[in-house]
Amino acid sequence: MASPSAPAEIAGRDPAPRPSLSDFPNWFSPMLVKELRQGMRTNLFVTAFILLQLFMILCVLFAAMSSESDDSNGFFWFFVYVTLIFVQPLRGLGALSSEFRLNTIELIQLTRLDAWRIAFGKWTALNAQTVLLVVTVVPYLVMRYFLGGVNFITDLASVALLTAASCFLSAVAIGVSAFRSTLVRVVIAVLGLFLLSTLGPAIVFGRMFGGTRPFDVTSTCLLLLTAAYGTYLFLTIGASRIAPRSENLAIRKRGGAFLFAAAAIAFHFLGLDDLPVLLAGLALAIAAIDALTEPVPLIPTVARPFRRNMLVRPLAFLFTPGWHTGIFFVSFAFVAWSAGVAAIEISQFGTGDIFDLEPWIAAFSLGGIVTFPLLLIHIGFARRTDTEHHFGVYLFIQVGLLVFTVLAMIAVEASNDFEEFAFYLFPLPSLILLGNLNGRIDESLYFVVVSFVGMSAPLLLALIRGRNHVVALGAALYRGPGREASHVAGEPGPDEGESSSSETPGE
Amino acid sequence: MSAPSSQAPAIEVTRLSRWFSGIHAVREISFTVEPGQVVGFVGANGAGKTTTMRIIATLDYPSAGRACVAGFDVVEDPASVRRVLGWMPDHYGTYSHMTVLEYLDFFARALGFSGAERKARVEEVMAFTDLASLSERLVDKLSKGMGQRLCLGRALIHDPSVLILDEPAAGLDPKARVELKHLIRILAEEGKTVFISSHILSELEEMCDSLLFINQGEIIHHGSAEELRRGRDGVTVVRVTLAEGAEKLESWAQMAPDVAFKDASKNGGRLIIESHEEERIAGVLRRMIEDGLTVVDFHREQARLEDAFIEILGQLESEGTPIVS
Repeated sequence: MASPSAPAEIAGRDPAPRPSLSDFPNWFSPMLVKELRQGMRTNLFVTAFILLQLFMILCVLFAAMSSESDDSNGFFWFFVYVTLIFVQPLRGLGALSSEFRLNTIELIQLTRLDAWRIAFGKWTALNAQTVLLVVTVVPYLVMRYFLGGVNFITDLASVALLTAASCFLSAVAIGVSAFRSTLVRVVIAVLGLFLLSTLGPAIVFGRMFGGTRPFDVTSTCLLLLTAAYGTYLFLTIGASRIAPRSENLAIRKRGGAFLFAAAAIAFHFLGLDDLPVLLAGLALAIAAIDALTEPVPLIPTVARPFRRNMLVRPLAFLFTPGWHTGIFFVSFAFVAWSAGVAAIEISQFGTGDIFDLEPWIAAFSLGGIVTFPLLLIHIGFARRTDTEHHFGVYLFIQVGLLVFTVLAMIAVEASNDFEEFAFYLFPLPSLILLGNLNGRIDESLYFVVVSFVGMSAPLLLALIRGRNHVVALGAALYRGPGREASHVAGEPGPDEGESSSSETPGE
Repeated sequence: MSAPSSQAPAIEVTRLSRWFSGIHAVREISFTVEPGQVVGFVGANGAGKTTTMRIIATLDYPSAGRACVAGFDVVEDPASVRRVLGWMPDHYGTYSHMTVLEYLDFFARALGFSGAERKARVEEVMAFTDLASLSERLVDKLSKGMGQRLCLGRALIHDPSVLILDEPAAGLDPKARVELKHLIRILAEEGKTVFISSHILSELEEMCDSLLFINQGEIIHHGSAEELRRGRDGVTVVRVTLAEGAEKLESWAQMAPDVAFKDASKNGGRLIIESHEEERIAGVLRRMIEDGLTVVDFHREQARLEDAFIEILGQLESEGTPIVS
């Protein structure tokens, strides 16, 4: 604009003051600045801030008046815990979806901010507000110390640990917030908070500070690595769900999962027993679920970086976004994880137990738990597979299977007659796994085959349903750089009957 | 990656198609917008306007064909397209708990401006859109007209050479509409290319160098408003008032070549001249005077654009073929 002259119709108004802003430095991320400006004005933050101060004052007063310090101590930590572990992460639960709701996501996508910077900026802003809350708690810690009965260093370490946990949970919440369905977000939040508030503290405090075990440096390092990786993974998941189709974040999510799994397995050889295997499996499972429910990007430019080298091209089938490449990723991840577990087993017990069927049943069942919903999705909800609802459908099928498994296990516990038929009648991976762990099923070849089929058949069906996308990716990789680059590859044409795409035209 | 050229058209669309679930939203459309032009994009709801504009703005992807902005391909090089393009959607997005100044500051930061340059850009845009006096007002408390000015300001923060405005005047009151139109006129005078969609053809007529009509995903007319008014039958209708009255005009028209009497009015009537050429039309008036008629009024009858558009649609329906002029 060379001449910023106001229109004649509106130029006659009073001259305006020259506006300026200098509240944040230039080097701050734009998203961090925006979120801080907005976030600290929200009613939730202001209310949480005031209530926390109020309760802190009450707790300190109570501690000063009472000789019994346990009651005030409990209240003190309860309020800090609720604020940091529940209130702050829950504020992140609408962070990315709000950009869709307010029709602002596309405006941001047209700027230089990529999806990762958007998600990361929102996370840092939320953490900055958490730190602000924590800083206001510190004076009360000091007062409690002078009133007696508490260890200041332990208190400070606990606050630091809760802050770190809050940062991790905020990342989870922001990752989940990319799902536009409120129901999906609520279900994940309820499941996640239940798991994390029960298992999380038990693992963390048990390993690091309490229980019968001494302070364990290796476990602590692994847990810190897991928290850092989890933070990265969930922020990347969130970013990938809001990214334009031309951005490839699958390589970060899936490559990161492999790297973390390898690092976790390496911890076994540093003296840890079962925790590395569990965490490696968990990381790969989360990445696998994300990969199997990711919308297909269909933009050949995504495949372009893989075209440069013949050796790199096959990697596109693992590391380009979309559920069709997720099938290959999951298969490869399962083989890699199984190989890691086998390496651990062999290093511990030699090759003698390799023909033991129980671990095979357990491994295939675990894989089947992740893949089994695909069977129902590709039979009953095939049109949802290229939409944002893909994950939602997967989630609700998974929840349904969980409920069914719990009911079936209750029935098994209640009736000995039913027990014999249950595992044959409903050979669900989850039921077979529980039966295997409880020693309720025979270690027979039948269950090895059934659990293997339960894991691989859904992948095979998904591969058949997604063959067009796989072929399109292959064409983008191995054909010359023709004009097909401007086409949305693999998407059925207007005259090709049923389409897997359920997008609707803007107008 | 396509190589941009200083001679490249501001917008170049070639055989562009977009389909969703087997439905053709846009069907092999092609058109070019030269730098500095203001082009109106007209069509009914569901005609494919927003889909086309979103593809040009790199917010959607073509199913087939190609779109370039200033020589940059929207699929191959979206980042370069975004640097030269300002986008104003029909539904402008605003944030709660954020002032006008903070809103513009955020987008200036996000577009890579820092320090004094960012401050200058924000100030310039606020002055241009006359929002400086509202800088401390929360954006979700702005009126629709102010909101549209803010949205236009946001689109202008990085001083783009090409502006795509999707229904910018929708829902505005007459005063806000005039203000917005004035801003767009200033931008056009500054040499920016403006590609603007609207339902209100009379507004576009005043602003646009040419109009692009789209119907059911296909371009059915590309030309000036004048060309659209003339229609496709190659005739001009003139309204004539004579001191002698309608009968004299009718008898004169029966004798004159290339002229037909259409209908009578109180002191004259309408004539059909089988040409659009101004010289031929002026020649008819000259002959009338030479033949001794007392011409009180002689003016070309302007068809309303809406009528002309509907006429084109009617003709296409009867012929079953699209026409691009």
